[in-house]
Amino acid sequence: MEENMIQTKDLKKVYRTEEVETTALNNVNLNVQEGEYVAIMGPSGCGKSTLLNILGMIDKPSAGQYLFLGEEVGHFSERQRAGLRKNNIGFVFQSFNLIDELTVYENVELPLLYLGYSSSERKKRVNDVLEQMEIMARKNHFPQQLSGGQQQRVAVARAIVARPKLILADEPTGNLDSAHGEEVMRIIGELHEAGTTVVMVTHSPAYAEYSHRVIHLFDGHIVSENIQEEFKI
Amino acid sequence: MIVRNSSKIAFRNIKRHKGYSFINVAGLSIGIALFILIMLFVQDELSYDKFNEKYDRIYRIEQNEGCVMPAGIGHILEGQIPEIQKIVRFYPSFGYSSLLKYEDNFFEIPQAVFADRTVFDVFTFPFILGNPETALRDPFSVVLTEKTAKKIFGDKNPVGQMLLVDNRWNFTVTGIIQNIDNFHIPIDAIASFISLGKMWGEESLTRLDDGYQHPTYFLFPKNHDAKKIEKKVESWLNERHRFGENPIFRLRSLKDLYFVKKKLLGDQYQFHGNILFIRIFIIVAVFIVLIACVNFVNLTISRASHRAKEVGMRKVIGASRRQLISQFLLESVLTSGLALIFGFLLAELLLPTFNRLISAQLTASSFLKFPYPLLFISGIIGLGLIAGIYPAFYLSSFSPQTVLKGQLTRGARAARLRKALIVFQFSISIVLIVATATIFRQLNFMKKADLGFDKEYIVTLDLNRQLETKKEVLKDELLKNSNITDVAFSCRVPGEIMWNWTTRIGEQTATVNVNAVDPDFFQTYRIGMVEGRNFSWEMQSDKSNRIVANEAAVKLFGLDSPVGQRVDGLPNEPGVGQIIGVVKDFHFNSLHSKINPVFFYWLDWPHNKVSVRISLSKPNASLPGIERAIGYIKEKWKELCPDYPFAYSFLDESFDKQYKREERLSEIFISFAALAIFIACLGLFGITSFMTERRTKEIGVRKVLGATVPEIVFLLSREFTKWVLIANVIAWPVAYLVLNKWLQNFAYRTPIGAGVFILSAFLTFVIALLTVSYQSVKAAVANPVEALRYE
Repeated sequence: MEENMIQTKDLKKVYRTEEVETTALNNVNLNVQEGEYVAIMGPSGCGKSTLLNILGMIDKPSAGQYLFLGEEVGHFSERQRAGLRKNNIGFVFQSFNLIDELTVYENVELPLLYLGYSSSERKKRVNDVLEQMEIMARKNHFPQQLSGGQQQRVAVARAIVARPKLILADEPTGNLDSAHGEEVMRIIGELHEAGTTVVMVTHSPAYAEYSHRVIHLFDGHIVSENIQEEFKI
Repeated sequence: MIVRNSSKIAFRNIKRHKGYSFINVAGLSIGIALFILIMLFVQDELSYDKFNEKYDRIYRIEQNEGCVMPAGIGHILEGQIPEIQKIVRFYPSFGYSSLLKYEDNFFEIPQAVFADRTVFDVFTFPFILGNPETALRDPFSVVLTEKTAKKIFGDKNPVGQMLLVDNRWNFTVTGIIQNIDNFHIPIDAIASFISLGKMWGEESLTRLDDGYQHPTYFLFPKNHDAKKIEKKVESWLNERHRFGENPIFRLRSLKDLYFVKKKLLGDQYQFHGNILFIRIFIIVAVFIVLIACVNFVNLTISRASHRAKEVGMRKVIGASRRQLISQFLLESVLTSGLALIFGFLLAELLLPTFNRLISAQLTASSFLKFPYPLLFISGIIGLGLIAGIYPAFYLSSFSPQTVLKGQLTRGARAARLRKALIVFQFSISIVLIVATATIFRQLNFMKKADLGFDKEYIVTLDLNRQLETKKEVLKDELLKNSNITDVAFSCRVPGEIMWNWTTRIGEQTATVNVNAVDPDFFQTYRIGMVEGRNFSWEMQSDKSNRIVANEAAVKLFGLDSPVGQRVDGLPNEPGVGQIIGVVKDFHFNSLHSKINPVFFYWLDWPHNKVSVRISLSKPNASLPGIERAIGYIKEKWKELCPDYPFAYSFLDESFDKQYKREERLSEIFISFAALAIFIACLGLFGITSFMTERRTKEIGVRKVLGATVPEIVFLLSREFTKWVLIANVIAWPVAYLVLNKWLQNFAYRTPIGAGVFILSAFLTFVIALLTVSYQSVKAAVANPVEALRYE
């Protein structure tokens, strides 16, 4: 039996403003094993992104437990969470979120800087991953000079450059046309093949088919889980 | 590595957002430039007298209200008190024109002083040529500063050359010393003190009662108790001689001389700084830098949304908050470093103007010496931290899940702070405006005040030895010209400092100013009599022991019927006199001080000044009329004293020179206020552009719903005018308190009227509105479709 990388118990997230209280997640129990590829689906506002943010330790749950690699992290400090994040998790966003003032190379290099890698190691790793993503020729360009697909490849390169155990992808194809979308999905599939655990939020049933398991969220609850018999590569 | 990455981001940000960077860097640069200039000035002021190696061992002796002693004090103390190792007496030129003649040319050497030969043992005046031991040993020897030597002799070796003083005394140049800068006594040349004995009679070197004109300095051993020596000196002197009524002797350390709070008689011929000005300047400089820092803070916070995504992403990747704070601080340090470079260039550029403004010769080179570069580097880091600390904490606090979703809500706290900072900036500007206006008003008040005499159209000339014997001829000749109505001789003319004398009427003793005049003096100046009579040419017995007092003197002695009163203790023989008349009070000196009690004598000496009134009452009165009259005076001068060059001044101008300090202050404050407002407006401009940008959608919707352009402009400007109003309300009481204190410096002052406050409010409103309106009009006239599409 493979170990649980992610385990949540009765996870709850409540947003409060002065007048309203919105429950974004309600008693979510979710296990993701190492090496799994999980897709999360559901209508807008069902809590998909909130769940992903909590899994990525960008956000804290209001109640319930979250165990990452068997360790309860719900009560971790900002700094502890930042430490866990940079060592284990890579993020891919719908809107790429590349830093406009940095070149492709520098954007990809950034996680390694925060991890304190040596200059030669950084160079090697960044070049490798740019090679892998086939954007080496663009390494000195700024994000605005790239197409959407290229930008997302840079974002993926940045997410995997530190070789994280877990990739969290929040609608990675949402801003891309279908050709570029397919390409990004193929890359994520390859990463998964190489052993990386992937949790991806998507609207698209077609892209969800790439995963092992599809979790449907509705109104903060997990309403169904489908194990895919045969998933795409 | 992270540092390099952050610097890269910082520089790219500076490059990409040019307008924003300009406001930040320009504001800070101006602030820094001003700060550098003011610090140069402050440093220069604080360096006075400090070049003296025995700085902390030198003391000046003072008696009662004066810092000038009779020559005899230095003489009798010689060798009497063991702690007094050396004594130096000076005789400053005291404002007489010092014309030296070399070969056939005259040279004006205004600050030629006399000093004992010990001057070089006590003060540090390094020699270039000559021997300090012997240079001032003999009568009629003179040591020149390098500058003076150059002026007279050019590149020739001056040692051994003769200089003719007053067409009578031949002085031999015995040495050249380095220029004396930043010494409280202005010095261009030092002649041997014993020369005075040859010029005025030997007794003038030992006199104890008369001739209060010598600043006298002592040198004490390394370890000394100044208070103890002071007591010793006082009792020793009082045992030996009766120095007037209640003589009090004090010793003042050289350390306290330049910034002496209460100026004594004699101090007017020395350089003195005003520590209050220095404090005000430093405070203003710091505030102007702060205004620039405020721009930085405000603009950075306003632009937060532009940086939010970056912050979010860095956090997601694993940056800790501390790392982000360091990054933003580094950015602000880099910005302030850039500003420092520009600030330096700007300061260098502005230095000549600033020097003219404060009448100084500052150079920026002194800031390149240790430890200033070090101070600047730490200053830059400090400035960067001050300006960057809040934005750094603010920006690094963004939570990634919200900013990456693009839901950055405008922090109410940040908005409040931003408003408070703008109010702060404007408050400072308003205080400066009110200050400038008040200084101007006071200056104007003093210049226009009724002085009690008519200062217009009076030309004054310096009397010299050649003219002294032909005074009456000069007077007669001048009066022949129809444009000249009056001519009078006197020791002092208004605007100059008169000597003090302690006299007695009945049982009462008091100190009054004294001035020697001739009978035409009051008429020349149009000063009216209150009672009694003026001196009369027909009554030669009026000479020397008859007195015309002013009203203040009558009041001082509490005289009911002053005319006929006997006065004792007069300076002239036999020391007794009588009041024959009383003149109306008039301002002999500036309106800084109250009208002093004055006794006027009719004496034939010492007359130093000729006052000539030019009449312009005739129909042809005009500038050419004045020029013709001066041409005539010059002609007569040349006839009567061909050996002296002709020089004259207008009394109103020389009188107003007493307000030079206030004039300078007002000019400096105008510049300060203008810069402060400029920097504040830069910031306001920046903020408005960001705030307007954020309201683009709102403006579009309002326009679609039917709002007119003026309505939109009003909407956008309303908030800023509110801030300016609040700033005014805060600034007014502060300005009032500060200026009220400043006005205490003047015996006669203008009240701080409501006018200056209304003016400051009006000015700031207009300036703020103009600044804001550029952005708001632009936003208001924009096509709403564009605005909505943009959103």
